[in-house]
Amino acid sequence: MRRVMLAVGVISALILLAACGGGGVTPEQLLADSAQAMKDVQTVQWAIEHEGEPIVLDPTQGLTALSATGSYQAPSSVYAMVKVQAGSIVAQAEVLWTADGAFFKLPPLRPNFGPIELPGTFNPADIFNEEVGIPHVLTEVLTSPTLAGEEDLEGTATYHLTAQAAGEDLSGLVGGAVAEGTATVDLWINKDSKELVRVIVTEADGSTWTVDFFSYGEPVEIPTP
Amino acid sequence: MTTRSEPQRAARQAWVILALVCLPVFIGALDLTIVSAVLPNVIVDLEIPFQTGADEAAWVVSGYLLAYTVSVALMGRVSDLIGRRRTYFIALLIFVLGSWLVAGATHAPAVWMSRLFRLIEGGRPDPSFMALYALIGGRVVQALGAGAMVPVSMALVGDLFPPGERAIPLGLVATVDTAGWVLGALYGGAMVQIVEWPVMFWINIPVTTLVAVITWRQLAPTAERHAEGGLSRPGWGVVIAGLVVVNALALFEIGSAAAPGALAAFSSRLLSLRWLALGLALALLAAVSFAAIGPKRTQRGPRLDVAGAALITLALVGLNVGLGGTQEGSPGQALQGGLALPPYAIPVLIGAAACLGGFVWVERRSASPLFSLEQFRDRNVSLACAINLLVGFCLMVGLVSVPLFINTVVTNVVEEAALISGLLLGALTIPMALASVPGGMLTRRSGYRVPTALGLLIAGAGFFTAQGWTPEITRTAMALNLGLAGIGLGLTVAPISTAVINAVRSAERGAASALVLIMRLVGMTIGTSLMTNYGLQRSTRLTESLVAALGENASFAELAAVGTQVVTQVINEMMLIAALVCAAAVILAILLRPGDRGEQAGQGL
Repeated sequence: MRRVMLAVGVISALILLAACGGGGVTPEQLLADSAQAMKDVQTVQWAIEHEGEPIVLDPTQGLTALSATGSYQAPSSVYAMVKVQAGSIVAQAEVLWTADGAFFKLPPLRPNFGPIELPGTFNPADIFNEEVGIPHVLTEVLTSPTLAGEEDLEGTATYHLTAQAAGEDLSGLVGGAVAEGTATVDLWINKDSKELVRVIVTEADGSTWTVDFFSYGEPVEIPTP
Repeated sequence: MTTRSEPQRAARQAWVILALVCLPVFIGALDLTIVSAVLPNVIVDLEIPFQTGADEAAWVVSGYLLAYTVSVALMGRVSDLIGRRRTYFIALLIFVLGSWLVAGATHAPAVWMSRLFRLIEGGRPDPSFMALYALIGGRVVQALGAGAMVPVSMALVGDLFPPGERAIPLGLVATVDTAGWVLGALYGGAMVQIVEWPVMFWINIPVTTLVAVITWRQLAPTAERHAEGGLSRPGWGVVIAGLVVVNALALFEIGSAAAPGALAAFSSRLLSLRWLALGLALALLAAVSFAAIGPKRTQRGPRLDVAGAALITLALVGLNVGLGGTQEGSPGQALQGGLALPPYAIPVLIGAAACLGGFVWVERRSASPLFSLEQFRDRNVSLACAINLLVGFCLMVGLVSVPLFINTVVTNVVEEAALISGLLLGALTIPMALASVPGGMLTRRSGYRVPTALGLLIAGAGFFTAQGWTPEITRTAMALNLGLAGIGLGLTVAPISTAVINAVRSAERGAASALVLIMRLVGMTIGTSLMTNYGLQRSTRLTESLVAALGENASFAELAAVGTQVVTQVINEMMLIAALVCAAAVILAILLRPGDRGEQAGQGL
């Protein structure tokens, strides 16, 4: 009788643990699954917002980056429309990353794509870089991942994870230079596809980066330089 | 209490009420030009790129002007139907609602706009533009309330003062209205030195609410005399609830502007509470609705010309959309050379013309038209209206081009640019207001033609000297040029108003005065749309040719210099256009039928 009771108790505890563990999903497993899903992405659109300390692109001209939207096409084509500010003027530049390098145009001052060397402070292409991009960050950089819960994010069922990371290692997650120091990372991962839906990085100085990913797998138009 | 003190008490009461109603008149007029100096601040804050958003950002100004114009034309008649106090109260509630929508545009209203766009167009709309459209919507609502205050205030003067004593109160209302839009740019430029731009609109809310409460009580005797009736209990409940919540929000925002830091984060979260925002919007809308419901008027009075109002609104909106639009598309495709107007412009302009034709047809058959078109048969009325339309156009050239020049050529610090713009625009508008007095005196001595023509010549000279601005020009020189233009425009005000008032029957003078004002507002909206379109088109073509000459290896500094050169040249061209328009208006002024010497000067601006 005692053995039966013990067996029932152990089995019940296992069932309870499985239920509490979100169906057996661990944060580490989610990050690994998401990294693989992001490696397999063929096309996606994204949007980056930043609040806090300005993202300086060219200190001599007082040029700062405000936000960016764009698209990615595997294996290495990234296109972005970047809002920049110089003094009291806001302009929209188009930036293109291909296997041949980076190009930009800023109509009407620069009506055609021309080569550019982008500063390290803002480079959305890093997100899709094989060496420093999302899969690397998710599996190699983030520490202390915790499953915060399940949330509906604009109609998408997601897992909400939190993690910590050294800010200087997160450029591949947000497409820009994150301040040194420990940053807090919030991730929302699609429950079904394991693709990233949203990333929010809170820097040590309180600035935040918000990156949204959407329209996975849909056709994108990436111009040629 | 002796009966002799009753008239004295009534007179004192009338002046107290007049002082109260003048405050929102001033604020409403202030908001007409307040964005002239701070629009660049707003554009930077909303992150609106100049290539794809400058023409749409212009609707922050045009939208207010258009809605203000329509409200001025309509609400005086509405007050005849439902009562002065009720109409005035509705106008104040609408102004409060609009001010809240503007101040909070980047939060819940932007989210609502985003959802609306997703519903209609799908995709992922740019949050910057959603905030801009929410802001424009708020400005339109503001203006519907603000525009009502002037005609209703003037109509109230008729209720409060006996016929022989109305000239001074009417002049006071007109002066306060003028003072508002004259000082708006300066006020805006000064305020952004100490607070963020939304705070200027939060401030409107408690001030307007206080006036609404006090005037409702003070106007009770007037309302009783005209059997206006009050609000129902549920109505009062909704009004009070809505006003309490919006004022609490406004006072918190104003307070947190004075004590930023931790409060700023909480403030942002508070404004983003969509359920709060939605409830507030519905409460204020319900408040307006309840306020509009009153006892049926037993007297047969003039009906509201709804069809005429709708047609003229559509015509004005179509005209501005058609003239002000640019090509859509990616930054690379925006403003391509070739077409001066986008593809939809011609059909829209044709539609606007059709609506204008429909308006004329309706007005001729209406028993109580918005405007008596018969007035235009008089040469002086037609010419004066045309001249005032051109005056409005020129005024707007100044109001649009000066902030653009300051922000692009003079300084790249946004807050500093706002203050400089405000001061320089004050150099244009303040002399314009002051010059109306000698303009009236000159009209008395010389009739209509001389002061009008002289004023336009002086204004033309002012704009002509301004078309020589360079990046090295001093602010003093700019102020002198603008001051000259302002003096010239100001000299035209009294003779134009007088020419119209003296040409019509006494029963039509109020409507005729409103018509002159409306024509100036229409000129201002056309000036905004047309000059924005012209500026963007010319900027693109000039830039492309200059950049092509530099070659592909041009440095960023060289490209920035091109930008400065282009803006300077385009501003110069705009000022030249204004000078030419003044010259054309001189011809119209010469055609004015001369007035008799000794006639009274008009009501001023």
